[in-house]
Amino acid sequence: MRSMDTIRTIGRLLLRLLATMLLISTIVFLLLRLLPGDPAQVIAGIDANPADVENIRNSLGMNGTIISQYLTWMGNIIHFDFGNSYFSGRPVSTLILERLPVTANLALLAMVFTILTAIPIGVLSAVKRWSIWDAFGLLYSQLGMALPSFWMGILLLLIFSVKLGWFPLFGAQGFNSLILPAISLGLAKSAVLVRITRISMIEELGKPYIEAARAKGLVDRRIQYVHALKNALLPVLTVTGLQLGGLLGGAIIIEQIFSLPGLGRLFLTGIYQRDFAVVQGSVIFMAFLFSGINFLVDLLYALINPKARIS
Amino acid sequence: MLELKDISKTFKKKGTGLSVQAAKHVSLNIPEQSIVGLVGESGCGKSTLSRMVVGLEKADSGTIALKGKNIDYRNPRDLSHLRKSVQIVFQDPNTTFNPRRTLLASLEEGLVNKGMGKTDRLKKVRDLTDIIGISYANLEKYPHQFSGGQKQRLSIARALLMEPELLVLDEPVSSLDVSVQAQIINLLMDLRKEFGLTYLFISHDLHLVGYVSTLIAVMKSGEIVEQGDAEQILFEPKHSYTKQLFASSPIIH
Amino acid sequence: MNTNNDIVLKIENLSLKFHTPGGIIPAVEDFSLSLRRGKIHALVGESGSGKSVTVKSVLRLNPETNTEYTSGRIEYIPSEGEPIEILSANESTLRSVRGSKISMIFQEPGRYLNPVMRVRQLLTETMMTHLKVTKQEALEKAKDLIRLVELNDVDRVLASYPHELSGGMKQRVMIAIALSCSPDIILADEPTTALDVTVQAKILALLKKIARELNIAVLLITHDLAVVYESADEVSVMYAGKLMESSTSGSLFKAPQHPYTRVLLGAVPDISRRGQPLLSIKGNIPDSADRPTGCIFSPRCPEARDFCSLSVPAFESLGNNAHGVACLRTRELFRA
Ligand SMILES: Nc1ncnc2c1ncn2[C@@H]1O[C@H](COP(=O)(O)OP(=O)(O)OP(=O)(O)O)[C@@H](O)[C@H]1O
Ligand SMILES: Nc1ncnc2c1ncn2[C@@H]1O[C@H](COP(=O)(O)OP(=O)(O)O)[C@@H](O)[C@H]1O
Ligand code: SF4
Ligand SMILES: [Mg+2]
Ligand SMILES: [Mg+2]
Repeated sequence: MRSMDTIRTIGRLLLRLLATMLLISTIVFLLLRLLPGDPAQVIAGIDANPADVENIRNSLGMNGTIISQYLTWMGNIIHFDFGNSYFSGRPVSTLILERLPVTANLALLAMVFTILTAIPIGVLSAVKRWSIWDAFGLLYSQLGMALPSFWMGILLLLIFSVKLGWFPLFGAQGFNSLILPAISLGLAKSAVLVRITRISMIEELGKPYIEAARAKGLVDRRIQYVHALKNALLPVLTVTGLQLGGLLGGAIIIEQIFSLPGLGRLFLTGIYQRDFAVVQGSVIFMAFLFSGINFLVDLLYALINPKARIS
Repeated sequence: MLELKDISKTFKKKGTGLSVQAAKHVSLNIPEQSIVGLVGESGCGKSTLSRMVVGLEKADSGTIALKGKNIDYRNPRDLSHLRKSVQIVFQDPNTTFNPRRTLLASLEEGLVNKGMGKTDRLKKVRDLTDIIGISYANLEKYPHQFSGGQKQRLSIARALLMEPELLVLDEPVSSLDVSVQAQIINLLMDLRKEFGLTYLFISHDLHLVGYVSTLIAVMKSGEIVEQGDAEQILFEPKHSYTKQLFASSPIIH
Repeated sequence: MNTNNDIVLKIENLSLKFHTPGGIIPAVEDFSLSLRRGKIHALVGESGSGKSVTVKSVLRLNPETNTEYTSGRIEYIPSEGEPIEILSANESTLRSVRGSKISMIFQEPGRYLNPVMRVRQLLTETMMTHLKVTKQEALEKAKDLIRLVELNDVDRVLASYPHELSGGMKQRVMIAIALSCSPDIILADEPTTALDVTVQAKILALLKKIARELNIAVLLITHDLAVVYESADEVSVMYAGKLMESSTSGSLFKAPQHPYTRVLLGAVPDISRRGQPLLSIKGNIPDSADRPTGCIFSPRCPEARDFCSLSVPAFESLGNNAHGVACLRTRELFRA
C-alpha cells in the first residue's frame, strides 16, 4: 500500500521530468528556426560562397522538411549528439563532458557550502531568537544578500590569493582552486536560505504539536531538532532546489572571474565565436541538468513529507 | 414554501478519480411557517444541501420548487427570485463580514443593490438593529470590534434586511457558547413570530434541532434516512441511525 | 469515601497573569481544585474563561516569556515518594513529570500530532524518554497500547502518519501516547469538541474506562454541560478566571447553587421543554481590560444586588465539604 504510493509518486515525477526535457528540446529546436535570419549565413559571414553556407546548414541539421529536421534533432538528442563544434570540429558532447566536472564540482561545492552554513545559522537564529546568535544570523543574511557574487569573488581573490597566497589565483588546479569560487557563488544563496530556515523554524516552533511534544516531557533538543526541524526543512528544501538552477547560471560569471575552464566558459566562448552547435548543446544540457536536479529534489521532498506522496 | 424533489449532487475529488455523493435523491418539503430541522454528522451533506437551496450550488439532478413554481438555475429571473425569497446565515460569524468595512456599510450593501435610497436604507437598518438588540451607533465599528454572538446577530440582521420568506440557518450557533447560543435561539424564535418566517435550521446537535423544529430530517452520507413530525422523530424514532444519534448525544436528565 | 489518600493533584489558590503589549491579563485568580485517583473531574466554563490556561499550568506549559504565576501552589502527590510542587520545580523534575506522571490530550488531535512522524515513533519516543526500555520493548508496549485504546489493525495504525487516520482514531492515538508511561493523571482539554457525537460518545466511554480500570485521575475540560453530566464524578465551574462553584456531579446537577451555574444549565436546550424560551445571560464574559469590581459575575447576574459590585465573594463550603460556592447571596438563594 505505502510502497505503491511511493512507486506512483516516482512514476509521476519521472513522467514530469521526461515531459520537461521534451519541451526544452522542442523549444530550442524551434528557436533556431523561427528567429529571423539564417544561422548558416551568420556563421559563414555575409560574403561566403553558397556552397560553404550549404555545408554549414548541413552540419546544423537544417535541411529537409521541418518534420524530418525535428525527428533527426530528437533522435540526435536521445543519443546525446549535439553536433560538432564549427571551430574545433570536435563533437559538442565531448566538449561538454570535458568541461562538466569543473562546473559540477563548483556547483556542488557551492551548494554544500550553502546548506552547511545556512541551515545551522538559520536554526540557531530561530532557536535562540533575539539573542546574539540571532543578530549574527540576521547580519550574515543581510550582508550576503547585499553583496553581489562577482564582487565577493574579486574580494576573496584579493585577500586569500593575492595577499595571503592560500589559494591559487586562477585555473583549475584541483579542489583548492574551487574553494573561493564556491564560497563567492554560495554566499548569496546561503544568505537567502538562512532567512527561509529561520522563518520556517520559528513558524514550526509555534505550532500545536510542539506544545504536545513539550507536554510529553521531551528534552528541548529533541523538540527542536527532531520535531520542529523535520517540518521546517520542507520549505528549505524547495528553495534549495530552485537555487541549484540559479547556481548553474551564477557559475558562468564566477568561472570567468576565476578563469575556470567550465561549462560557463564553453558557453560564453561559443557565443563570442558564433558557434551555434556549442551554444545549443550547452543550453540544452544545462536545462536538462536543472530538470534532473529538480526531479531529485522533488523526490527527496516526497520522501520527507508523507502528504506530498500521494496527490 | 419550498420543495426539493429527488436532488442529487456528486463532487469529484481532484486528481484521485474518487467522488463523494453529497446528496442522494434527497426530497424535502418545507411548508410555510414551519421550522425544518436538518440534523446529521459532519460531512453528511447538510451545507451542500443548504447551498443548493439558496442557489449557490447547482444540483446534478432533481428539482427545487419555490411556492409551487420550479426553479430553473439557468434562468436569471428564477435565480433572482430565489435569492430574494431565500437568505442564508452561515456558521462562522467571523468570516461573513468584510473586515475592512464598517458594519453599516456591510449591512447597507444588499439594499444599495436593490436601488433603495439613502434615507430609506438607514431607517430600515436602524429599525432592524433595534429589533436584534445592537445599538445603531455601534454600526460604525468594524467586525473585529464585535463578539461572536454580536456578529451572528448582525448576520441575521443582514439576511432579514432583504425581507426573505425562508431563512436558511447553517449551524448558526455551533461556534458560540451555550449562554450566547440561548440568546440567539431566543432571538430567532421571536423574529419568526414577528415576521412570519420559515426556517431551514441545520445543526449537528440533535437536542438543539429537537428543541426548535416543527419538522425534522435526519441525514447520513448524503441521504435523508428519516423525516417527519418533530415529536414523532424525537419520541418514536424509527431508523436505527436516528436512534444511534440519540444514544450518542449526551443529555442532562 | 473520599479519603484524602485518593488526592493526587492539588491546585491551591492559583493566580496567574499574562503580560501582553496590550496590558496585563489576569487569566486565573485564586483558583483551587483537587483531583482524585480513578475519578473524572470536569472543569466547565465559557470560552475564554481560563480553562486551558489552568490545565496548562499543571505542567507549566504556558509560554515562559510572558506568564507570571503570581501566587498559589500546584502539588502533585505520587503514591510513593515526596510530593512535587510544580510551580517551583526545576526543569528536569518538571520534564520527568510531563508525559510520564501527568500527561495531556488536546482538542484538535490533528494539529497536536507531528505531521511528519509515524504513530509508531510518536508512541515510542515518550516511553524511551521516560522509561528504561529498549526500542524493541517500547514497540511491543506500543502495540498493547493501540489495542488498549480499542483500535484494530495494530500494525497499520502504528505505521500510519496522522493525516492517514480519522479524527476519532487520532484522538485514540493521542490517548495511547498519554497512557504510554502509566501516568497518575491525564489532563484532557476539550478532547471531544472537534469530533462527531457518535465518536464523542465512544471517546468519553474510553476515558471513563481508563479512569476506572487504571485508577487514573482525569481532568476533563469542556464547555458542554451534558458531557459533564454523562461522564464526570466531580465538577468545577469557572467564570472569567475564577472558581464559581465546585461539587460532586450528582449534587451539582441536582441542586446547582451559584446563579451562573443555574443559568448555564437553563441555557441547555431540553426537548421536554420545547417551545419555551431558553434561559440566557445578557452580555458577554468581561474583557480583561475592564473587569467588574466586587463579584466578577455581577454585571450579568440575574440575582445581583447593589452590594454585589462592592465586595468580592469568598469561596465557601456549603455544610458538607464537597459542595462550595462563591456568591454573596448563597444563603438566601439556597435550594436543596
Ligand atoms: N466544493 C466541494 N468539492 C468537493 N467536495 C465537496 C465540496 N463541498 C462539499 N464536498 C464534500 O461533500 C460532502 C458533504 O459536505 P458538506 O459541507 O455538505 O457537509 P456538512 O454536512 O455540512 O458537514 P459539517 O457538519 O462538517 O459542516 C463532504 O464529503 C465534503 O467533503
Ligand atoms: N499565552 C497567552 N498570552 C496572553 N493571553 C493569553 C495566553 N493564553 C491565554 N490567554 C488569555 O487567557 C484567557 C483564558 O484563555 P483560555 O484558558 O484559553 O480559555 P478557555 O477557557 O477557552 O480554555 C483568554 O482571555 C486568553 O485570551
Ligand atoms: S455575588 Fe451577587 S452578583 Fe455575584 S453571583 Fe452572587 S448574587 Fe450574583
Ligand atoms: Mg456544514
Ligand atoms: Mg480552551
